[in-house]
Amino acid sequence: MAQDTLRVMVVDEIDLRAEAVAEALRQHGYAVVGHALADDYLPSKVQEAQPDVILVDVNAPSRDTLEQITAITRDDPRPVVMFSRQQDRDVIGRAVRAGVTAYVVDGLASAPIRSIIDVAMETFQQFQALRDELQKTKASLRERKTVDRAKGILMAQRHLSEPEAYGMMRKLAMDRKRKLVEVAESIIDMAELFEPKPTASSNDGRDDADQPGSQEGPR
Amino acid sequence: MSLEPFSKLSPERPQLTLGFIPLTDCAPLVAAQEYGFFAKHGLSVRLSREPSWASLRDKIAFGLLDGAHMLAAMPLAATLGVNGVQKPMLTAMSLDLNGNAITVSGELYGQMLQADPGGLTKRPVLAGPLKRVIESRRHNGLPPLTFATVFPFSSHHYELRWWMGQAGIDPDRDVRLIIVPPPQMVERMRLGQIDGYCVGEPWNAMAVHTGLGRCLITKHELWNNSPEKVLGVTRDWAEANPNTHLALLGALLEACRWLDEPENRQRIIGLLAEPRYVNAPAEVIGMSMTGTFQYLPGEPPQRMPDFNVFYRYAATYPWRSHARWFLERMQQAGQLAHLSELPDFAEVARRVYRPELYRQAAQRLGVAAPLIDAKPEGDRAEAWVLHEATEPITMGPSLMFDGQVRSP
Repeated sequence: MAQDTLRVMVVDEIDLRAEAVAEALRQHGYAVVGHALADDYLPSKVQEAQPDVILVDVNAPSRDTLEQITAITRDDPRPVVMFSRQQDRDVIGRAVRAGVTAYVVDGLASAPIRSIIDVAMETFQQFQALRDELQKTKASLRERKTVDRAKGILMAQRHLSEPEAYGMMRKLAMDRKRKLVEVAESIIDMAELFEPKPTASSNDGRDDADQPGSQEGPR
Repeated sequence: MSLEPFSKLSPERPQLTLGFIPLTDCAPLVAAQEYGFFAKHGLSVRLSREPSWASLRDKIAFGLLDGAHMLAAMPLAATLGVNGVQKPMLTAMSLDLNGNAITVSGELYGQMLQADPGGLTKRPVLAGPLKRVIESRRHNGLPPLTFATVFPFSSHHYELRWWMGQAGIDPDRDVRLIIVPPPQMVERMRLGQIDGYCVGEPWNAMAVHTGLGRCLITKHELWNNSPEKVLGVTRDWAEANPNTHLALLGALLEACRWLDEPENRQRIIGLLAEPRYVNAPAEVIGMSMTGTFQYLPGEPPQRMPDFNVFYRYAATYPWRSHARWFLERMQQAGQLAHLSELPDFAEVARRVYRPELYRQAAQRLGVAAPLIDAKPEGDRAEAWVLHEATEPITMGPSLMFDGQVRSP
């Protein structure tokens, strides 16, 4: 089969994901000939590994060094192009949205390349799903902590039992059509207002912490 | 004809994501965001710091970004299909003039000084001393020097080739030309992987600041007031969102005008320095942004008010004569060789550079706009006045370092 001969190189800043992509490709019978981290100097890695297809994380900072191979072919007689045939546009679009992009030696047939990209996309999407799940878990853990803290404040201030404090918060939430965690937050805010001592608020794992360049504009 | 005031314009897409690369000249986007020009024009914008020009290009092509500050050659290359996926793009506005420079390592500078001491004293510094070093290295069997630029389709790449070519250096044979992302330049030079580079600020000032590099020539010296970044969007996006596009142009025109005031430059420097934007020391970003420049470590900064030009001299106007220059440079660099036939450059410039949209945005704001689409380049040694405009506009000099003059 032709796909046995296709040599794939994987470039990803997430080591674990790169391993997973490589493993999935091997299971599909492709040869994974190289693996580079996002900051590696890619042209020399490419020269070493001589891949037919390079799979790259869309956000790898060193991607532009590959663009040179597409434009300047002095060092390497085999021109590498981004997978750019007209009929493959949909595949590329979906791949870019999933966070994968591919550079391919010119002249290869589309079909096996498409299936390589599919394998990579699937792994990327699984990772994204895992990451979303983790973030959801973190968020709900944070909510539970907030509710517990508010409960503690009510118990101490109003001399209530735990079920009583919880019941009071639930009633408040239902009456005001607000979420339980929002009621809990306002209870904590009020307590801090009247007793202003520095308390360590939980700001671990903030959702925007890994996106330094992003910010919402003024509405 | 009565004009709708811009506040009444209802954008089809009021929430936008715009991409940028960590460089001093992302300032118009940052100013529009932080000083409320986007909001004033009814836009809520998320700025997305992109890790590479390729990712920025792909994300625009596939709609993950609405637009971005782009290298001026990128919308041309994407439209022609010579870079990445073929996708018609356009620009209705330039975001700055000048803004980059050529820097070499201290070691290479030392060799150039030894080879041709006189060649480094007079500005603009030409590549003659570099040619001598290249020849002596070849004579001694040493490997070729390595120079980096930021992207194959960039003014940086074309400028470096132009500067080398003027002195008889063949950039394809006599040196190794590679691509390095702007924020990695200084580190690659420190590691000895590259001997020189052409990059936008603050990455020249950074090399001089750390004592690692010596700046040889600025883009302003290569070609006075030459084009650098543009606002790039896809043609599909522009056609589907005409009001949003106009609002975006209005907001960025105001931001660029705001950046022309020296006191506003002072205000923006601290913001640009933050990790979410350029992530570099404020004093390094402040070097060119306050109108000064330092070529050599230890040397006092010189006055260079036009190192970064964001608004004056009709800096924001998308001149089709600039587009033609980029297309010719692509051809000279062999980047159009894969096309089955050479495109009509004037026609490509007309499709991609859109001064008529600019004039619409300028009229809404009541600011002056040129009425011609192309101008001569390389012909003006002094400031001059453009009369073919809605009101006369003071323009800057346009000299090229090799004395070339181009007719429109």
